[in-house]
Amino acid sequence: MPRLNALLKVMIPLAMLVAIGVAGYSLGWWQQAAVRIVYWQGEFYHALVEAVTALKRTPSAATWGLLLGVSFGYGVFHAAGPGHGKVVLSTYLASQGGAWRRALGLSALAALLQGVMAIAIIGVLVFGLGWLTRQAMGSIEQAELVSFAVVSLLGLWLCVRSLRRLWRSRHASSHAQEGIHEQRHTHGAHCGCGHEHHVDPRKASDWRVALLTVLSIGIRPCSGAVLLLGAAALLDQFGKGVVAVLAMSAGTALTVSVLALLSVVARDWVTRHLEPAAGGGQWQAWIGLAGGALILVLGLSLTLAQWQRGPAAAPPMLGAPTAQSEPAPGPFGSRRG
Amino acid sequence: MKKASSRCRYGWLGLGIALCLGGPSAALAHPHGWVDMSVEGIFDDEGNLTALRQRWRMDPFYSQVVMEEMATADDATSMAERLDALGVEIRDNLATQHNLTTITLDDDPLAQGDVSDTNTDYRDERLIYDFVLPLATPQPLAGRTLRYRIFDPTYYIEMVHEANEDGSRPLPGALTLANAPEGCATVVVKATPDPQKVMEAAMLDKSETGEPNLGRFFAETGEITCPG
Repeated sequence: MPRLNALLKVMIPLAMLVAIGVAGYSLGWWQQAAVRIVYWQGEFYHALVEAVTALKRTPSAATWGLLLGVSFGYGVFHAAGPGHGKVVLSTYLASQGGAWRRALGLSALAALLQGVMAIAIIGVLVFGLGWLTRQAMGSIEQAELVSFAVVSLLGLWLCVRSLRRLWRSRHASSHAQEGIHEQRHTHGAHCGCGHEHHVDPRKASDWRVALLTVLSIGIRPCSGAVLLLGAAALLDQFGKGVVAVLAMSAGTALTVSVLALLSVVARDWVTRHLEPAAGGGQWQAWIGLAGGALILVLGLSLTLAQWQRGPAAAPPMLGAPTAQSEPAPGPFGSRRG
Repeated sequence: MKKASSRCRYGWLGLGIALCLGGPSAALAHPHGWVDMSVEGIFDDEGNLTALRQRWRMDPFYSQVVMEEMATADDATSMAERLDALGVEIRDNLATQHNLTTITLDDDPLAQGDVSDTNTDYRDERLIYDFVLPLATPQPLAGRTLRYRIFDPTYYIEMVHEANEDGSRPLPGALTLANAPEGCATVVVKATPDPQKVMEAAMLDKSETGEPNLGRFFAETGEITCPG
């Protein structure tokens, strides 16, 4: 009966979690939380604009502190809203393995990349190429499309990798000895226990996949950050804008890494309880395949939706004031993220 | 939305795959700019409401971005001419979206006329757009309540009445009346979004039109009531 016991140990808490989730939804807690977060996001944006204005008027330690604090908070709550990045990251971590250190590293890198991309867009396009801020904001849509394409690529890569693993382990199971070695190895490479046997070719591939994950999340900057930088630059406060955006990234990193750590904790917990009952390494490869497929479907559907919508489908509330040859939507036209 | 993502942790157990795919669909848009509005109800001499004069103050950042563009136009037009052209442009854009305004009289929708008297101005680092939105036919308000809501359906722009410092109370000047009959009163009612409906709309709209139309849930309502 140990097998049944192990299953029960997982299923009972799991059923409780699901029950809590369903109760939370039917009692309206989630919905209320979601609406509250939307309000907070709006209020933080107000506060951010005021903080930049206050700092411009009277640069002091207090106004600097205000700007940093508000930017950080904006980042925290901005990331608390849903977005494809968090789904990709938590699915990746839950299905592909990775220690908490990797979870933290990926979250921080992705959040930082988002900030750096915003700075690069204003720095290169506006300062370097002389674009208008509004046009630079229009380029976020392209960055978004790229980001979705990278998500699809990541999903595809994970699927292929899992399939190859499955094929290999099936092949290896005919040589019992080798099979055991393979499984142990898989475990060692994935939970980051620290005992590295030898240079693992998978490690290199792992790094490439991790990089792809960071890219898929971080390549599209938040339009709020780009607008902040653009406006700050126009007010001759570009440096302060950069500092604010970096503080924002730190806030985003905090929220995202909490979610990432939760994914890792949950995965480890389930793995600990279920793995002896289920078929070891092969099971893990199946999960990897499911996770990869999930990411692939998500990436493809987002790419397709974005492709179909195109830039013209979101008519700007206030269009370009003067005839512009650049196909950029108005600042009120780029309505994403 | 932490909870939505914590659901995703179990996606690989096959329990939450659908939910995880629903996760991004439930993306709630949130404002990336705002407009401070003030509205004036204009009455004719017979005591009929003829129009809503609206004044929109764009937020400082958006104002900067638009003014950057105004400043870089390389023709011989003066700034005043450019601002006028901008006003016409905004008017034409908003005309396709019934000026982001919905008006009801005792809960029956009222038709709008064509916007007139547009004016664009740049003052105190804010871009200000004002215009007169006439009712298709002037309406007697005696014993009735007129309600209007002004909002960006996508909620990219938050449209709020001019309010005090912390935004908790609309200023007296946010909704005023001109030439009104004796005893007419105004009030600005804050939005009380129904979380359940917001969530449903977010999921439904996203899959159908690509953008959740959440603005209406967060829109304030202006009310003008006259004694009967």
